[in-house]
Amino acid sequence: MARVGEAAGAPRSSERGFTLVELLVAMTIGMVVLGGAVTVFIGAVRSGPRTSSQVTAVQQGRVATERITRELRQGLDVLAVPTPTANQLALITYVKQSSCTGSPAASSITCRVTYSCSASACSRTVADPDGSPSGAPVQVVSGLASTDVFDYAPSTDPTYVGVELSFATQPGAGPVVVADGATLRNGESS
Amino acid sequence: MPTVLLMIVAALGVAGAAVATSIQGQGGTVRDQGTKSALAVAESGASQALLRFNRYGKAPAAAPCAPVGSTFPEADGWCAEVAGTTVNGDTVSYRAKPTSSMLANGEIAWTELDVVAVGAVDGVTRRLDVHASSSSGQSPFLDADVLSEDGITLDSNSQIHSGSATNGDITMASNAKHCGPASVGIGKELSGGGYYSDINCTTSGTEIEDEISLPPVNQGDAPTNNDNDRLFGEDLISGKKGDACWNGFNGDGKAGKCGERELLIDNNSSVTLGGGVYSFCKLTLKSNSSLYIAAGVQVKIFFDSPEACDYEAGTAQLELLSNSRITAAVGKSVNVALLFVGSKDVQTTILLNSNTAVDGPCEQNFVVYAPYTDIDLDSNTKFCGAMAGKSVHLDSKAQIWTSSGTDAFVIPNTAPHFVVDRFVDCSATPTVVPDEGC
Repeated sequence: MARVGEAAGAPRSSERGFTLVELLVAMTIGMVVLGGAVTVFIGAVRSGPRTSSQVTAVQQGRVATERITRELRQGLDVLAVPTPTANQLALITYVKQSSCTGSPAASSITCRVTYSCSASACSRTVADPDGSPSGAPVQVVSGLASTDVFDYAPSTDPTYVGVELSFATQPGAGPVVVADGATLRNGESS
Repeated sequence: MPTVLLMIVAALGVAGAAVATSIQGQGGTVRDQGTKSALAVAESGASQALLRFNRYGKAPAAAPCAPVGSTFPEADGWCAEVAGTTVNGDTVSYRAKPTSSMLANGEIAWTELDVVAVGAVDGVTRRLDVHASSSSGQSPFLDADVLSEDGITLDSNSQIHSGSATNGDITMASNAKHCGPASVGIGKELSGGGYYSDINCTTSGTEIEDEISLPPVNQGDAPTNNDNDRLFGEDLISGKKGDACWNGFNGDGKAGKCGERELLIDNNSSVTLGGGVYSFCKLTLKSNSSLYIAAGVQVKIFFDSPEACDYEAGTAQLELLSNSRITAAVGKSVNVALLFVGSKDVQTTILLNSNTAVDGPCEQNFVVYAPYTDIDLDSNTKFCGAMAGKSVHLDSKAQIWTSSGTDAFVIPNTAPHFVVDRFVDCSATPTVVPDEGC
């Protein structure tokens, strides 16, 4: 006959549980690790859209400034009419098109290119050097925090044009600024 | 525990995505830097090619590619590629294509140069194409007798009776006239006054827009190899010898009021030039004085740069006061060519002044080529011939008339000095010719 003590079964060494102290320590460590992981997770989730928005802004700014500075670099003249301002630039430059209002081509011709920035976006218009006929405006950049994009040196008859695109990102984050500029290589003083 | 692990994995995943986005952004920044560097390297290649052609002197007709280390162009018409590395280890290469024109005397003049240069930095490659021109051996007045880089201005009652072309505007006072075909710069305009497309002011017309190129004067060895020594030994003064001054001394040997390489002809006197090439810093003709060119002689007077002459900005290197004149004995303007080296940094001027009746014969009868110098025709001046200046300004009642033969005028075929007049980025990688996609 088995003894009572044996019937209840003293736990074998492999079946021994955790002591209360062990459980408390393990839970505390677990909570700390979990808390850290949750903090990182929440931080990453929260910053994700902001980072993504900033990266998108930088990408957009990069493409736009590359295009504008290339046309500035190849430019002959910044036109005095319309008056060059921080949000409007008209210049005579080389563009790779079959005609100023035509399709893209392999070789370059001179055209009048006008950039106008308003209501957080900039558009580009290509026309014959005398201004007509003019193609339809095409939006080249949007989401700007400021439409003050261009600055000129010297201020009259400029030979250098600076470009600064300032993008609004998520609330609470500062604007992303992409800045560049170019000297008109085909200008009179070049 | 599994929850903890899952959370850690998720957090690491999100953080990893953020890091990847950041790295992508950084990669874009590096590519941007590479693009700028590659462009700069390509520009350095183009500059190097221009420097080699400009330093070489006149390339022989049989070896147009000699300045860049080869002889003849390859089958595609371009000289062999020149490749190298910059001090930073970036690679640069370029190919050049010189273009010549045949002069009336059978000489070859290298008047144009195309260069395509490629720069490669950190895996980013950029290609650009520059076109350069040289004035040596060119006929600048083929299509128009009045040329200006910056613009042409006509004050009240002034008139131009010839073709004109500028990269700037043509601006006329309300009663000024431009009679002859006019070409303004691209995007520029002709405004005010009356515009007629013929020199007799009978047919109204519309100006065209076009680019012109006025490469600088290359005087070659004119400052050292010239006929200056003829003054006043063979090239004599009419009248009192004290009335003309050359190189600091009057014709009578006494110290005069002119500086080094300056010729000053005083009131009512004249000097007759019989040499072929002169090198001046300044020429001044006082009232009623004249500079004549001997019969059968074609004279070229090179005016050295203001830097070489130690002149301040605003100096008039040619000054003709009232009733003075420069004229060839046979009356053809092309027999007298005044070529101004000028300067991009130090502004210089040419002042033509004559108060004689504009209906009379031409007082000023010569050709002026001065692409870096401002030309000012004072009131009532009548000029027959051709002129090219940085700017051309006609004061009230001044007139410019075309003169036969100016289209035959050729700038001396000295060693070419190429200056860039077109710069473009290129797109697709070329497959047929180096400047494809430019």
